[in-house]
Amino acid sequence: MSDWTHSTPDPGAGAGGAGGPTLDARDLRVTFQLKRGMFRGRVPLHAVRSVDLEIDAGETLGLVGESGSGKSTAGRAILRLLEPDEGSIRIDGQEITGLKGNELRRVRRKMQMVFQDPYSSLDPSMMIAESIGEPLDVHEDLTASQRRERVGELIELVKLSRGHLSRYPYEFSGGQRQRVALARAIALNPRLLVLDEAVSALDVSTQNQVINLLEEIQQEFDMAYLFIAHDLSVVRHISQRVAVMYLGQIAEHGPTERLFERPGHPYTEALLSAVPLPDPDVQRSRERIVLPGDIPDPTNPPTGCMFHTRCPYVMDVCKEVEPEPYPMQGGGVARCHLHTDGPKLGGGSVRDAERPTPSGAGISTGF
Amino acid sequence: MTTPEASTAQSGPVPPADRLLDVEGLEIQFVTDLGWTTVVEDVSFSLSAGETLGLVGESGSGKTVTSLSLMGLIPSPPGRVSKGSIRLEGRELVGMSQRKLNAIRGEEIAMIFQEPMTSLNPAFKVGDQIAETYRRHRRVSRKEAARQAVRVLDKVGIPNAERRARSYPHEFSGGMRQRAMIAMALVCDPKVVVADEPTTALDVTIQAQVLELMGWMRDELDMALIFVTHDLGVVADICDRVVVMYAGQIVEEASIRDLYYQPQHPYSSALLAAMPQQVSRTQSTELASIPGSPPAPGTFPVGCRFHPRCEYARDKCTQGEIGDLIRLRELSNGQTSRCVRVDEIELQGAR
Repeated sequence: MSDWTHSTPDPGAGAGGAGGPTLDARDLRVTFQLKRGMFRGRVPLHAVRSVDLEIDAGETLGLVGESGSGKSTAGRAILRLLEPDEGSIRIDGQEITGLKGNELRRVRRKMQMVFQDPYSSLDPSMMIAESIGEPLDVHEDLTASQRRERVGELIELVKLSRGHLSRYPYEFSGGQRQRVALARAIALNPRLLVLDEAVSALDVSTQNQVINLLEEIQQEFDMAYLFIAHDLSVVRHISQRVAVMYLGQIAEHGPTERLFERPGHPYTEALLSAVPLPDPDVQRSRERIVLPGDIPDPTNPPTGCMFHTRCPYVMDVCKEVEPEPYPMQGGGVARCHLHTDGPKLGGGSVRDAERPTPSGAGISTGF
Repeated sequence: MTTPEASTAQSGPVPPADRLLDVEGLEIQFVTDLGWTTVVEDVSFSLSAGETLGLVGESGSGKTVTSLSLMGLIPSPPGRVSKGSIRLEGRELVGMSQRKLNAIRGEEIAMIFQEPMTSLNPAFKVGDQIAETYRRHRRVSRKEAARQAVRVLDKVGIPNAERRARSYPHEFSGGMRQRAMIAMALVCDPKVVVADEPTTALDVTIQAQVLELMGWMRDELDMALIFVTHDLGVVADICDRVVVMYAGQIVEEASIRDLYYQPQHPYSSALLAAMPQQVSRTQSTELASIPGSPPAPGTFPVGCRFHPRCEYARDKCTQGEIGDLIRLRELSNGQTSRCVRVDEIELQGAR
């Protein structure tokens, strides 16, 4: 595993923190043991296989991929909500794997998570003031008036009013609840926020309010964001850098503009082409790459390049040899043989390669 | 469904021959603590053969309730169609007996739901479920029905359809389940398919597959589709015409290009502006957003229902024209808008 984030001077990277990145995760691995049948014992599922992630203070890293790609698992492992089997996780330089009890609790306040569903992440029987203040009760020793003051500050930070504090979650819309969840998450001034599909459940008209708020809060407190999402348009807007996961690995990562304009991995190219754009003339004239089938069974991943079973550019080498990360022109890396074999793109965009026309036509190419 | 109070004496122009579905003055109510609450009001649109109509709106706009009413699926109680008419090739569906509706549902008008797991029965093999739908409408042998199920599974791109027909829904991946559900909708060759957020729960790569499949249904099977969605990208991809709903009303109806490039209602325009458009943070600073959130049924504002969130709102927007309502205006090019100020304001489209 190459240490990609160090070898690539991404714009925006290294600008924020005084000493090193806020999050530095190396060679992160998470395996689930799945029970298969009654007598067949357990099968390992490598949900995250050797993932490196680095985020600076004030920076947003977008983490995208299909369901089953391991993006949420990676996010949870970083917060130690799931125990990684291997790897190192440093928050502001402090190694947090292996921490237990009080030590772990102390470091937990530096990292928080906002979940997708604001309806299930807030306790319906708790007043908003209690929900927001709960982390303060656990981690800080505040007097009643200090606590009230802090909770009031927090609710105003997320553009709600102090009057909302004595209400209950059911009285709020989805967007407002997500603001409350955010107020709770930032109550302890964390250094890192993991946002797992945090705006995905919201309607378009309210989604943007929350995105704008997230950006404002990040600037004010210089927080690092790991923004996990499947919506590539939102990711493009909010992230300075993007990592694309496929079957537990990072297939490609790089500065946002480079990745969207000059994708270096066929999977990234296909994902981008699959997002329908809200402009009929543009959408109907652009080419859509329809990948065949679904993401393969992660307990039985393909040999060689894990994407080769769905890749429109597949070559013989892809079926046998696992590609190493290759540095991309413009920053980041892609794990694809096209850079060293076949058209030998050498870090250029896969959009410059000639795509073989798929055999069979029309509807059957779906599988 | 209850009998319509109005519109039984519906006069007006005779619909063109290729007109499949005509919805006229539809009003749907649900019982709440406060009595009957109107959730959909004054909804009229039509659908012709081979046409794909988008029904667009946010959650709570009434788009799903409207689509369910087309299938006679408004649960009663607590709901009812309190006014209006829904005609399928001239036959009135509102007030039709369940027995007659059952004969039409699946046979002439079919529905595809967002979550395939809720509409496929986990206890039965996929092929058997599709065959059952077929046998319900056609007097054929079990063997013939099973053959039809395999045929339609194959048609929607399920590999080894014969073998997969004997699988249970849980053995299918998410994308395959959605295909199986589409197969079930197609088995009787319906004239109209209503698809309610058929791609919302899917990954983009699977969504792309399903959109291809639905485009093929439209082009090759000449099927009329109603595509209910909140996703303006999906609409731009597949629809010919669009009805935009807000707070239980149609606020605009337009051809696909008119809606995206010359929207005539501030809500449509604001929605288009709010799409992230794949522009990065370095290029744009803040995303456009609509202040506040959509009103819940029972709390709809008087006059224009969008006025509390509208940047163009004036005093006259807060008063109703017909009772509390603003009337839908017909514009020159077949476009409609429920905006009082439509002639006074210049709205931005997708570009």
